[in-house]
Amino acid sequence: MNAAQIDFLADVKVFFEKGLGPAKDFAYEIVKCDSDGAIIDMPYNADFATSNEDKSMHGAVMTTLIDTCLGMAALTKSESTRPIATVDLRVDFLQPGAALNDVRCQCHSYHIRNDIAYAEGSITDKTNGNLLIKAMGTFMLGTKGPDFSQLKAKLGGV
Amino acid sequence: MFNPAYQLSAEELAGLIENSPYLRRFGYLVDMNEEQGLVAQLPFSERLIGNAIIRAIHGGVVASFLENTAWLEVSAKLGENITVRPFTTTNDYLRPTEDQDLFGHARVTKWGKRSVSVVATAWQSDPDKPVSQATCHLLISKKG
Repeated sequence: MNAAQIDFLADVKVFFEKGLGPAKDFAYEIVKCDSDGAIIDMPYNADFATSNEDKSMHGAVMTTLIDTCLGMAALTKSESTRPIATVDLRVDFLQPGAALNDVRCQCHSYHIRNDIAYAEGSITDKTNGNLLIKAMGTFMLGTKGPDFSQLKAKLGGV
Repeated sequence: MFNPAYQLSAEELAGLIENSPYLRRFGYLVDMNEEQGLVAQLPFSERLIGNAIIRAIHGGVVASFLENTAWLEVSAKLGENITVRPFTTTNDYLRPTEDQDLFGHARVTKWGKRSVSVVATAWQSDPDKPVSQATCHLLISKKG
């Protein structure tokens, strides 16, 4: 990896760690973020349980997590810090996560053409390895707005 | 098409939201009006931001909102003794979002014995300009 690539990945990481409301709320931990894909870990949090009876984390938390991770994979694959937007997101809820167990979200972008990035990924239970969610996302690259790399200055860097 | 009346009032739906730590934490609101039926509302807060530069709401948050709007609609129509659980959702993002509240309503397109299919739409300032639309499929089963 050359210096420019390292710099680029740092920009992406800053964007996802500091520029996202949900990243703070759900305590995302970016484990990996390069052109091969992205991995984000999320700890269990009873504040986001489905109901008072069902303590597993709400499916909507998983949707938000996988959208973030798919976007990160699309962005790193594009090797550009131009803004992106989700065009389509499909989420299959295979089974609810077990209460108290942390989860891992793993995504990669397998194709980019004409500024459209295609990505797929899954969420697994970190304790028992159960597959919880499968998802596919389509992203438009180079949408309106300033470049992500400007965030570092705006948000105060790493 | 079979189209049951709402079994739950706005107050009872507020109780349903109160019972879900996730929905409560995000401050979900519901309104029932004669014209549109159930309208769900997600009040804007900084934690919903997905892009701090253009101040758009996170795509995953919008997807979650539509999923919950569909869930609220089906729950409101089937009453408290039925468990409703989404199993597949597909979201189309139609317009950019702004740092404002999200509103949503849902329409059931198929009532099945085991599953229900729903189209949910979200908007911000203008209901005629939806920001996102989702097709959600939800499993229904008797509680207990």
